[in-house]
Amino acid sequence: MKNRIKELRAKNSLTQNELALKVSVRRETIVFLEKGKYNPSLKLAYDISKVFNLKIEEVFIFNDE
Amino acid sequence: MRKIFLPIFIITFSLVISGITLFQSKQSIEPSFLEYVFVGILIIFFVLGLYFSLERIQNKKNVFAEEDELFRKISEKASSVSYYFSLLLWVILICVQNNTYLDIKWIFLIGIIGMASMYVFSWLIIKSLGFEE
Repeated sequence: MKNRIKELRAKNSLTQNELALKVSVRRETIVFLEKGKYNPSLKLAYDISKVFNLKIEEVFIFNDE
Repeated sequence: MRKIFLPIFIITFSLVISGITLFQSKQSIEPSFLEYVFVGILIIFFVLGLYFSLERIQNKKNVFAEEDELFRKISEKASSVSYYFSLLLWVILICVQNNTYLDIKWIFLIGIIGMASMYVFSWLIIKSLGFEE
């Protein structure tokens, strides 16, 4: 699963720390998400999408495989 | 706060008890190489425990979550991986014990420290590789 967190974060002028605080996770989790090393839970994916005012599928790109 | 100081307390306690057990009974005899290795491993655990506790304190100070879903998932995965390897370790140790004259004290010590090492290594490896499930 790919995601656009880094791109959207830059667009919204948010730092990793600020995003982590908004979705109540550690900054390390945001780093892992941006590197594609972690697939978030549905709740975290929803919370992140809400921060950017987008739908989940606009932030997270699911692979059919 | 309990979650921050508990690991430090457990590791310090284990370190002190191991130190006393290893060196008290052999005051006149020089500690063996294996004993130095075990104390070295325990000191590494102590430093790691201290590092992760300080990281938690830092997160708390910066109003970040002390624990989040990634942290919990890594811990769960490390526990399950180390559990399977620990079973294997104990089977190997039982075979070794049957075929050698190694003291039962050493078998337990190797087993317990081996289990702890497996958990720490699994945790570090999973953390560095990521968690894509």
